[in-house]
Amino acid sequence: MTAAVRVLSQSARLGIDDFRSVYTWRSWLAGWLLRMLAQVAFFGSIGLLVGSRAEIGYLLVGNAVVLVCLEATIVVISVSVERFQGTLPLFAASPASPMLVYLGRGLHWMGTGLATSAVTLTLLPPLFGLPLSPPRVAACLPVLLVIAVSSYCYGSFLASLVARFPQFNWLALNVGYLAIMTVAGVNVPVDFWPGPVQAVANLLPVTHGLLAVRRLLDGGGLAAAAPQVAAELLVGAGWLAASWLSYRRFFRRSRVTGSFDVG
Amino acid sequence: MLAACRLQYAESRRQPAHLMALATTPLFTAMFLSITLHAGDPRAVVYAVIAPGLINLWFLSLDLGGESVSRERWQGTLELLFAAPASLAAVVFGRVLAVAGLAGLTFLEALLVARIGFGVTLEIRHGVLLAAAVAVTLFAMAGTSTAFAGLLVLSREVLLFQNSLTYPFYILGGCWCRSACSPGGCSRSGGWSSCPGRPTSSGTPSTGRPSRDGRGGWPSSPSSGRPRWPPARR
Repeated sequence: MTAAVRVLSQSARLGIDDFRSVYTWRSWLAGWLLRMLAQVAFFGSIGLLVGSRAEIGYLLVGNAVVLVCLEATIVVISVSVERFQGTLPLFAASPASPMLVYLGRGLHWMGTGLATSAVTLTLLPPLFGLPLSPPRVAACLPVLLVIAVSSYCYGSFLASLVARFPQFNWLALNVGYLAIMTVAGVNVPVDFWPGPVQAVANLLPVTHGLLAVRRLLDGGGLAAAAPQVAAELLVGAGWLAASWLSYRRFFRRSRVTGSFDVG
Repeated sequence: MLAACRLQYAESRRQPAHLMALATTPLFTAMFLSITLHAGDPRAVVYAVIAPGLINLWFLSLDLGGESVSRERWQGTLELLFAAPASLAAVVFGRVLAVAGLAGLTFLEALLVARIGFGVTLEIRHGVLLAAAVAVTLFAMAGTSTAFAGLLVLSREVLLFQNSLTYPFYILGGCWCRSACSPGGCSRSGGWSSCPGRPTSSGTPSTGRPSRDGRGGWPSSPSSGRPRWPPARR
């Protein structure tokens, strides 16, 4: 157990070092964060065009919260980079579990996603004339953390598929999070979609967590949000199990066939 | 320029990342249309269908076009390109033109998704004018992208710039609605009524009139009383 934690934390530290080699505080604030704020403002402006105040609020909250998911799923890129660097044979030969390394490779994206989402949720609604109460936003932070975890598990599953076909990394990431933005209740309620799409949405991260966030922001208490948070955790556990199985199968096949080369 | 154009097409055909826009267009279209239809504002449907094409045009120009010189450098072919008797700008512009053509396909794809997936068709009143406007936009974007190609090659972290230059430009470029729709723009110009496509007595956006089977008659969800997808067909 201790060894597993050590491997995970080493892998996470590697991810943080990668991140710091790309971003400085200045480039993160002026580049990444500004881009994310613009993304949510873009959807808010759609609300200005077509909607009522409630519609604008719905779009702003949904799109601010989904940023956690967007960033957590960037683990797909972290894992594909590992594949392109050709480290798989070394992992396969090492006594540590390569699955743990891959699962820990993008943990930092959950932290940055939380920060981005919290800042956006605080800054943008007032600009659209819909300020949110700071204590209510603060009450949403644990739920955002749960969404980050479940999204990371979902992203890890996508990453386990991309480990087989690294050239599909950006495609998997973009389609992965855009699908969630489309059907998971980010822009319109889940019940807008036909039954089969709703069924899929209920298996995706964000759907339940976002509902919990909306209830908390509407003034509902913990009792109103708890069932949705539990559902979000369950969804995350399902994706974690799926990614674990997928990675295990990938490494087993790689060892059997000797297909450690990229792509 | 034509040779560069052909080369870019040959490369893009084999690169999943280059064809990503074709995979994301249906999702963007579904997202925007769902917002519009849920809000019950059929007059904004035209923006929902055109926006994915514009977004992908900018994205592809920035991503593939803007990176074209950097890619030559990574592949070790930039020196050969400099040594060749052809003009570097012509080669870059040819490549970017191919990318713009690819982005042009996403306009058609969005129209198809709207029609097949949502039963929404756009009645185009001035087809020639629309085609000319799209062609001019593609050409202008190719020019912008060529400029970016020269600029981004100077950067150590191209991706950082490419990421940062997406949504701010979607807002400023009016991919969904002109900048008057942004919070600041609205306050300056007198509020939401200044936004194009707002339900007013003056009618529809000038680019074309969205006509949809079952227009104005969204079936209500039993729980929320909000419209649902797919819309009813009359």
